[in-house]
Amino acid sequence: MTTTADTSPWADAEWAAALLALLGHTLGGAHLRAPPGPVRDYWLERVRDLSGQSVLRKMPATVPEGRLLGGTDLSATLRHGKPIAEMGMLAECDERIVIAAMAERMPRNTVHHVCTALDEGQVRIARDGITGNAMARITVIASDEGTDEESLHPALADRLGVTVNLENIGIHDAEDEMFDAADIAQAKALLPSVAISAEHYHVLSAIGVSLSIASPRALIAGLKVMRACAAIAGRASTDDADISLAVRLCLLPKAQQLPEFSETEQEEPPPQEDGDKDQVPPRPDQPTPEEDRLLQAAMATLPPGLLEQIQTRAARLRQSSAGASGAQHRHLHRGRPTGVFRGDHRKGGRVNILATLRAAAPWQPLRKRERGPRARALEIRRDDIHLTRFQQRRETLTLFVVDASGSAALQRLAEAKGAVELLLADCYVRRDQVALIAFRDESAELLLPPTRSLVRAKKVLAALPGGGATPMAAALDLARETAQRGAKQGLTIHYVLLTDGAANVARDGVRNREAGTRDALAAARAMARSAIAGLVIDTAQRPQPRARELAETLNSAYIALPKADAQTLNRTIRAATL
Amino acid sequence: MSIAFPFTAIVGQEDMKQALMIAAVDPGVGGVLVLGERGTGKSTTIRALAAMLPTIDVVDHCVYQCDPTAPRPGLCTHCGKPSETPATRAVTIPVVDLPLGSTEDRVVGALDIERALVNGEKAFQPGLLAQANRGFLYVDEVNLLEDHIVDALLDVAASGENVVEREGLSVRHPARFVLVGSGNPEEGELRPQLQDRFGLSVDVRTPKDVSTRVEIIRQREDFDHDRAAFRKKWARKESALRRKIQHARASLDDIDTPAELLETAAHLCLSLGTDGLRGELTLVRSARALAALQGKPVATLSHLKTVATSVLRHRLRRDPLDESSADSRVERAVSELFGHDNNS
Repeated sequence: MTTTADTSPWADAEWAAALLALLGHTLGGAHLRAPPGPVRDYWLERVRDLSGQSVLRKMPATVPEGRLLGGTDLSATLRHGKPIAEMGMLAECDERIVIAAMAERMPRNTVHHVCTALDEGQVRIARDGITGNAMARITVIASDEGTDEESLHPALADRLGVTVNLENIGIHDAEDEMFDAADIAQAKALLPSVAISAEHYHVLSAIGVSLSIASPRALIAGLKVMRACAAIAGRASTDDADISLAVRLCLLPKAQQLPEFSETEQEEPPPQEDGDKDQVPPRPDQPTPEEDRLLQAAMATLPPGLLEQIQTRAARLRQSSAGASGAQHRHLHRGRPTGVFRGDHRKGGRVNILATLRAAAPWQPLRKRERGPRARALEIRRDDIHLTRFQQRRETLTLFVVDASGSAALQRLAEAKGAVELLLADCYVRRDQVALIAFRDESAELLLPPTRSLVRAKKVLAALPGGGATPMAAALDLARETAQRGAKQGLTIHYVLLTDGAANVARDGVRNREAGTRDALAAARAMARSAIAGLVIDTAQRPQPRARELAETLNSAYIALPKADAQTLNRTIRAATL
Repeated sequence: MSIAFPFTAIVGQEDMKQALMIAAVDPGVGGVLVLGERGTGKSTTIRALAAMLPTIDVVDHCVYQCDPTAPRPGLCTHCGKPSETPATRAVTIPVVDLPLGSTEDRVVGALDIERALVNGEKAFQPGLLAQANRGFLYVDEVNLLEDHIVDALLDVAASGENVVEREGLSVRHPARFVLVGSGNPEEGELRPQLQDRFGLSVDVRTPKDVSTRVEIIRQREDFDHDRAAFRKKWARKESALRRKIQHARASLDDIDTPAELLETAAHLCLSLGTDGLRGELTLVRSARALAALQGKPVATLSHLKTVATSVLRHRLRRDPLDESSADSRVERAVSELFGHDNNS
């Protein structure tokens, strides 16, 4: 056994394994950032050995809701002629460790059910003829291989006590076994008697505030880790090393911003906030030197490179404070059962056994009498058959490409903003997603990745500045990339380009009207080839031929709107895209 | 059943607690919508409410918890039959969970398939809506609820009656419940029709000062350490609050509503341009419920002022070019109105 002073990256991972084994479901679990490979396998083996569980159950991201929660046991139901319940995976894994594979791809509903199990130690079921609760005190290891575009859903990440990062660890670094099962057993006995001083409570909370962590769950996990750490080290009260470990495993990975210390040479200050001010908590309690010292000590022991990673991620999180939830929405309406209807199973479709039995049930005595001695246990006729309806309609993504350059901005930016908001307000009913690209000066930027959240859109729109040159080509290229990415995810794409058509920045960033127009038309041709339907709205005071030419090259509809408010614009767009 | 965190032990979140208590006093206010970021104790508070609720008298053996004192129409077919006074029993006001992923048959109810197959009986197996009659129906992550379930809810929430026409069944039963929904607004909008059904809406945020947060995590630790002991520690406060709610429910009908209050409510709604009368009615009902909670005989303008934001913030028409939040618009209207009244 080693002391808590040992702080190599692998040592932290080893600590996390010990903590999972010791605390189990009370810790929630671990957010495991690691590529597939021997290091990850080895770490999971360590968790298994330390926890004494024979196998760690694996939960695929694609597990259907019925399997996850439980439902009707099909064969047993048919055999016995009455509904027989089947246990869901979450209930089967009660008091066990579950590996959620590819957790970054987990559909939103699955995230919800796993979160409920973590919060309450049970799952609630009201489906397929079964209503009830089942114990599900699971410990989740969410294995996240996500890249920039996809990451673990924040609601789940929030409930997992520790974060383990194996991305920068080679197999040769991962050798020391610091603990064994006997250490865990010893610590278990000591754990209830470990005391945390009032000062340590305060220090941990203050560090949480200075890292801008809003949710108290991270702090509660931190306290548990401190206690467990002391218990493993054989101490009856927590000390600085425990805080340091809790900060490294529980708090720093969830940091929304990193504090600046005057005496350290932190080169880059955290990026400035823009338009998102309520996200940054005021700091009513200036951290005392004691907290600063402990936080700094914890940060100093982080492996090189990790701090930068945290910093870039924190910056990204602030830009889109909902993380990747937008990305997860797109799975919500694909292939989800949304009701049951009477139908012919030979034409395809999945038979809903329960609804079919229900339809057949009232007729059983009659039919049995009719058939006499040849009657079967269950007499089912063709028109009893019920099928499950799946959401077939594809979701639509309306991609707004808004010209925020000087020529267009003054006249139209406010209307464009208004139209986007109005469309968003309809979104829930229309089942649409909206994304927003704005372009001005040198570049085009995807300000709002596909989303249905008005809250996010409002934040982004409010912060959208106007003025500068018109990089049309860059905007069209970005629009095409975004649209193609959306199409790959099964979305139907419409774009709405609001511009006066006065391109004056070339693809290489040079300001030149001629080159700008030439590149814009080239980009438009590429867009037209990708066969994405769209609409160009000419926002110039007096409609110009150049926007019409652009629309023709794009092979899209063209509408000149010299005078329009947000309402008219909204109506026009709806009429054109529906 | 797991032991719930005590309602009275929840640190801060006064808006949310007040809205839930108002709904507990007067179910007629029409439900509570709780929106907020992660880790604000949304579900914890709502689940804590269940242990806080007083008992009601129900007809014995009635699966819909029918009210023995209520007039006959509006009761289930069984209790609605003219008969001698039914046997009653007291039950705690139910709080029913509508979990995400629920199927329609379990929400609205369906043919009891086992009885149908085994005995050849055509019997109705009541769903969650029946269980929730006269109580609370809680939907966590309400903005992720599937459309066909939302449709079923909307209809029932409006009419107070669940009509089931399926599989040869024709059943109608009372389903009056307080709809409580929670969710994170960053994950998608609520359908406007559903949002309309909520009488009160609250925005919850995490407290940002260190000492409050220390208090929160200490409470939580104590609770996790020994749940039963923690509940015991808070038992006295819990029963005091439960009595307070019970009193308020009993005295609700006797609360005076001055004409001035009605007028002010109407003015406030007019100045904010809220649609329909529901805003006004909810304002008055909530003010009365709050007065009852405080043990006051009269609902006053100060009660109205206290509930105004919760009642109105989700009823404002969206003005895309107005960047100010709904809260500040309501507050502005309230201060303008009350300021004006003082001058005249």
